[in-house]
Order: sequence, then structure tokens, then C-alpha cells
Amino acid sequence: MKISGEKSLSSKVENGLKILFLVIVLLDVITLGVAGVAIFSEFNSFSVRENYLTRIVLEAIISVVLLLTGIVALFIIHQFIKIFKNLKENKLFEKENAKALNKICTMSIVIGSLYLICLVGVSILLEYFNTIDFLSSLLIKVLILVFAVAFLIFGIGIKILNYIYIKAIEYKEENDFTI
Amino acid sequence: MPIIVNVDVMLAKRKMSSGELAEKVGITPANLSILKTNKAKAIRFSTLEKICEVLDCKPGDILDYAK
Repeated sequence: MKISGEKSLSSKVENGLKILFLVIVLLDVITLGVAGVAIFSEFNSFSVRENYLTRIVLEAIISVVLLLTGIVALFIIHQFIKIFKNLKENKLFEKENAKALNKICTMSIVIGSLYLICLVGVSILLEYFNTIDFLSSLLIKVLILVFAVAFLIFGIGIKILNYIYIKAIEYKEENDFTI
Repeated sequence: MPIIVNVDVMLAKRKMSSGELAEKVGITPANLSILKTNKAKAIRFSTLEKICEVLDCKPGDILDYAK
């Protein structure tokens, strides 16, 4: 199977990423809507509880943080689309690809950090507003931590790959400019 | 880069065109242009040898070092 060029694997991956991009946009909009409605309805409900406002603020922060991760993920997919587009056009060792990889690295670390912020928010929320059992709360916290660590490791991995890619570009340039 | 390529000076001395040199040496005019404009990162001994042979000069006549 062809890796680069028209009707190749990279062309199919590029199309897949474009669909994924649209799906995430849709999910972001739905999340924004659902979170907004949920927080608004809770805010308007008459059941006044202890530290009610704190809870709403925390829930809002968590929702915003999760929404931000979605938006940053969109940027990552956009960069991947750029890379696969270049691969489709047989532009393998381009500085543009290295720049895209660098952006992906930064954004992955941003997502990882956002998940860590989210973990702090969720921990406070579950600690002070004990709405679910211990096992479920632990599961949620572990799940968020796994996401955070996964994105941080992914970002570091991409950083290393980017270094190798930049070196490859340098070697290619050296080879191209050897007469 | 402090290494300066003086191919055009030698070409003027020998009253030879770039195209002719490229053809005799066996490199493309585009590659010769890279060499003349100091964009080259390296030069193969075989290429240097052919240039010296065609221009009847020594490597020092083509390559110079300036701080």
C-alpha cells in the first residue's frame, strides 16, 4: 500500500482526521450546551444547599477546562491534517512538518496540564460535595489522571520525534546542498 | 559560512561560461549556481577534482577562507 501520494494511506488518514475534526467540533458544541443548561438549571433551582455557589463555580470551571481540552485537541488534529496533507503531496522532510510537530507537542502538554487542573477541581468537588460513593469517585479521579499522564507522555514523545525529524531535515538539506 | 567559493572568478579568468563548466564537470547548472552563490553545504572531492581539471587550477584557487 502506498504511504504518500494521491489515493494513498496518508490521503485516507487525512480524510479520517477531517471527519474526526468535525465530530469533535460537534461534541464541543454539545458539551458546551449541556454543561451550560445543567449549570444554569442548577443555579435556578430552589434547593439551596451548603456552599451552593462554590459548587456551581467548581462545576463551571471543570466544564470550561474540559471544553478547552476539546478546543486544543482540535488544534492538534488540525496540525496532523497539515502533516498528512504534506505527506500526500510527497513533501516528506519539510520544516513546516517540524513546526506542526512542535505545536502538537506544546498542545499535548497544555491538554495534560488542563486535565491536571480538572483533577484538582474534581477532587475538591468530590471531597466537599460527597455526591457519589468512594469507588466511583476514585475511578473518576484515576481516569482523569490517566488522561493527563497520557497526554503529557504523548507530548514528550512528540518532542523527541520532532528532534529526530529536525535532524533528518538537516541531513537532507546537507545532502541536497552537497555538490 | 567563512568558506568562499571563487568559481565565478576562475570562470572569468578562463573566459568560460557557467553552462560550459557545468556540462564539462557533469553537474547541473542549478547545482553550479548553488556552489557559486555560496549556498552549498559541502563539495565532493570528485566534483572539486573535475572543476580543477576543467579550469586548470588548484583547489585553493576555487576555495577561500575568510574570518
